[in-house]
Amino acid sequence: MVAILACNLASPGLSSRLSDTIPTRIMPDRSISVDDRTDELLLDDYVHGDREAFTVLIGRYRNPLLHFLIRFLGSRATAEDVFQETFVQVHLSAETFDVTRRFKPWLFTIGANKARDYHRKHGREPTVSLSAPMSREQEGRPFVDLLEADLPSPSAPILDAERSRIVKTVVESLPYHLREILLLSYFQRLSYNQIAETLEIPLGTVKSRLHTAVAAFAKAWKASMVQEGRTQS
Amino acid sequence: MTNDRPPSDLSPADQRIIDTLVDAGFDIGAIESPSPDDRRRVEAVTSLFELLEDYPVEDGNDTLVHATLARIDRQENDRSARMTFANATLEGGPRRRLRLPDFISVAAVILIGASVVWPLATHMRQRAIQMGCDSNLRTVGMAMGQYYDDYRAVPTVRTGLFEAWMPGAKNALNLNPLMDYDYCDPSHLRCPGHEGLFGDSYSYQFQTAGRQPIWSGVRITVLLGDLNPLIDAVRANQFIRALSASINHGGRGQNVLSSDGSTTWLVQPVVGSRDNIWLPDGVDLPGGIRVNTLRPGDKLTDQWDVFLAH
Repeated sequence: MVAILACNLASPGLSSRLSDTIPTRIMPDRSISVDDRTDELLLDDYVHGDREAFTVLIGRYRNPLLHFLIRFLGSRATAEDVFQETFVQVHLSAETFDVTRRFKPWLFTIGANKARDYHRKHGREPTVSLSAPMSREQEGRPFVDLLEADLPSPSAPILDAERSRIVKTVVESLPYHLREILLLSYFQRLSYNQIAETLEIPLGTVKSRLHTAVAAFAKAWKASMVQEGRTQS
Repeated sequence: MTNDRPPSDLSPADQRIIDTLVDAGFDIGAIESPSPDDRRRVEAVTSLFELLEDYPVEDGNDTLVHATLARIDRQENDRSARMTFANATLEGGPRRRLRLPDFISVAAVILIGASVVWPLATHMRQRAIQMGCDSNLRTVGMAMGQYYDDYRAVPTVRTGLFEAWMPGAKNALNLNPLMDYDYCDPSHLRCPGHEGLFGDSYSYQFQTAGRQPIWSGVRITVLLGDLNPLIDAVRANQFIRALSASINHGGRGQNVLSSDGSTTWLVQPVVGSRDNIWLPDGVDLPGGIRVNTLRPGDKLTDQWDVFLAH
């Protein structure tokens, strides 16, 4: 897959990172289409002057990252701006990227940080205002049990556009830190370890935060549907 | 980093299922032999997560990709420009040959600056020298007042011994008692405008046996002043000008100390009724005079005549 050439590396940083594994630079194998190269290889190619590789990389994450940012930020225009900032940062930090690690969590780390920066500068932390009684008691503490919550079925007779609107409202009612972990875990299929690395928080915090996010989402969804049912009636 | 691990408000069973789903990458088929209860719970949790897919999002287009690349290019251009500026600042940038207009411009700026600053600096220096000289004379005046209180006479070593015009004659030696008896410091008898480390700085009223100035007497007269420019010229048989100013202050004027302890800046060496302080009575002339019109025997005929010699 790769041709190993015994030549000087163009990037000293990359050289030192690779020195423990292979002593020479991994040169792009031109026999492999640029579209078939891994993310990590594309970034490495870009570091060594292959601009087309970076174009492919941006295109590859055009939808996953943009969708994450739209859901996180609630605005396409803002999401596009943060998307560009994210790849500018990738460009600036490309030489520091450890090619032995995966690119996707790194990219989403940068994207989430940029989105959080945007929130800090412009946004106001939303509060969960949509809530519905769906708890049962355990050891004197109320908690949500999804089997017994009597949640409105996603397949309930409701227009797609209407459901989309409600989902958007519900997601945007969640605090940013809960919204963020919900999106990273489900849409990006990141493992707990990867989420912990992306958000730079302990593994246990990732788990408890996701549990809290799911419970908050369930309560908000039920409350919204109840509210919609009342308004529709 | 926040520690947000409050007691979860999700049931333990749901928590376990969520952990399993995350580990399986939300691939239900990857979950090994779930119990019927777990299967129903997995479906409930998954249905809830799938709601997120109804969040309205639009795909990115090629414009976004191109805009991103363009932004990176702008970033690079800005960074290059900053680097270029920094290099130009630090390293002087690309060298260009100095042309004649550049040289003339720089020279003109320097000349204009110097023409403004130099006279000002010179004036300030002269003014400081003049003030220093005046201060010295005031100090010597106080010393003379104390000396007079003690001896009822102004300092005199020997009267009638010195001839002002004779080479080697030192009328200034009559000031020595002030220093010898610690009435003042030798530095006070040295004008700051007088060049050279040695030599007389001030000229003293010519002391004769026939007159002894009275300190703080009824009649005020000049006793001490800047160096008489005519004495050395006469001794060297040179042409003199009677109204020449002392060399101590570049020919601009001279300070004099009067017998009441006051000091005065004289632009011309004349006091009272046309009394030239550089010349003895009888040879005071307003214009130039020849050396040979003076004789060693010329002495004061008027006891109040001012004649400063050293």
